This record gives sequence, C-alpha cells and structure tokens, in this order.
Amino acid sequence: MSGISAVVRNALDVPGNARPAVIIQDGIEAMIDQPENVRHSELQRMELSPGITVYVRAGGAADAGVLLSRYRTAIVSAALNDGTLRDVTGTNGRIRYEGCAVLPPDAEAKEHRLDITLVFTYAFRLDELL
Amino acid sequence: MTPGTLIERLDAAIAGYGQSVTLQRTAVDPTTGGITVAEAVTCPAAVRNFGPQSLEPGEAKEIKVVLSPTGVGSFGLPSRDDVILIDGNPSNITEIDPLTYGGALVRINLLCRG
Repeated sequence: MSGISAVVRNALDVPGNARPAVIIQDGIEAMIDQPENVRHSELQRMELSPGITVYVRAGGAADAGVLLSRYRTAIVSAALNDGTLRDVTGTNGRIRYEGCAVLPPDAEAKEHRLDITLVFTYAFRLDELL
Repeated sequence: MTPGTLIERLDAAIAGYGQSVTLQRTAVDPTTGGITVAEAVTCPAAVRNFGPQSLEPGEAKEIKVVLSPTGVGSFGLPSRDDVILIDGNPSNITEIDPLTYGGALVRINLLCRG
C-alpha cells in the first residue's frame, strides 16, 4: 500500500518504529449461526474481526486527521475490493466495514492511531480443517 | 563551582563509560506521513536500560540517556518529535529533562522508548 512504511502481524510494534505503520492483531473469531441439523460444528458461519491499527506521526505541516483519513480510505477500499478476500469469504460470506475510531495520541510517543473494524463472515467447514 | 566545571566533569564521565548515539530532527511529509531526517548529530551519551523489559525479543525497551551540552552542540535541546538512534536502533524520546546551573545548560537527561 502506497505510503505505508511497515506492516506487522501479532506484534506490539514494527521494526525501527517506522511510520506510517499498520499493526494487525488476529483479533476475534466467533460463531454467528449454524444449520439446526448440525451437531458438532461440521458447518457453521463465523465472523472474523482482526484488529487493524494505523500509526502515524504528525507535526509541522503534517495534519494527523488528513493522514489518518488517507490510510482509512486506502485500507477499507483495499479490503472490500480484494478479489482473494471475496473468494475466501465465499457466496455465503461477506466483508463488512463497521467503522473506525481515532484514539488519543500516545502520550509517550505523540503518535496518532486509528482503529479500523472490518468483519469477515465466512462458512466454517470442519472437513476443511483436516 | 561553575557551569563549565560541571560540564567538564560530565564530559569526562561520559567519555569513561558512555557510547555514541545519534539525535535526528525529523520532518513529516504532509501528504504521506513519511518521515525524513532534516538534521542529525552524533554525540557521546551515557545509556542505561531501566524498568520492566518485554519478555519477547525485539520489543520496545525503556532507556535512560544522559547527554552533555558539549556533544549536542548546535543541534540544541532535543524535542519530543526527535528520534534517537541507540546502537543503530531508533527510539522515541518520551521525556526531556534539561538541567541548568547558574543559568547555563549543564546536562540533558532523556527518557526514551524503542
């Protein structure tokens, strides 16, 4: 993604504190429903919601709001329009953008953060685990 | 006791048990948020880790740094927007505590995280 210096998964920070950065945590996976005749989770629909946080530094002519909006737009658009992600969620699944939250700047580092919430609904099939 | 005496003593102490660090004054691109180095100075410093350290290697550490006005020179007092390279690793400056004596800057204590 243009402009992003580093992306890491399941880590507290990116190497060298590079900014702008995106840190992804695997987040939450939860069942939402299943057919009534299913007893042992052979088939059910799941929701997967990763934690996606954008970190930027601002100051001088760089406005934090402008930068956060730029990367919100880029990330949400990329996720919702990605053909691979759409294929993985399948015909019974979907990808929802549920919103975002701007967090207060980190007092230690003066960095601005944006949490983006995307929810991926997909069909869980037990036989695909084997 | 004069400010000059205090600075000389600090310089000698840092020369004895210190190491080199690099202070970087950064600029942020208003369009992309990309960070560039506008000004830098390499100077001697006393560096000590403190506080709880992460169990996971590679995670951020809390670091105390002592600088002398001699080494900082024209770079001046660091700011919270500056970055400090310690052993090549960039750290954020989380707290700046300049000490003055007789109206002159004689020591700079920094708390850093990186």
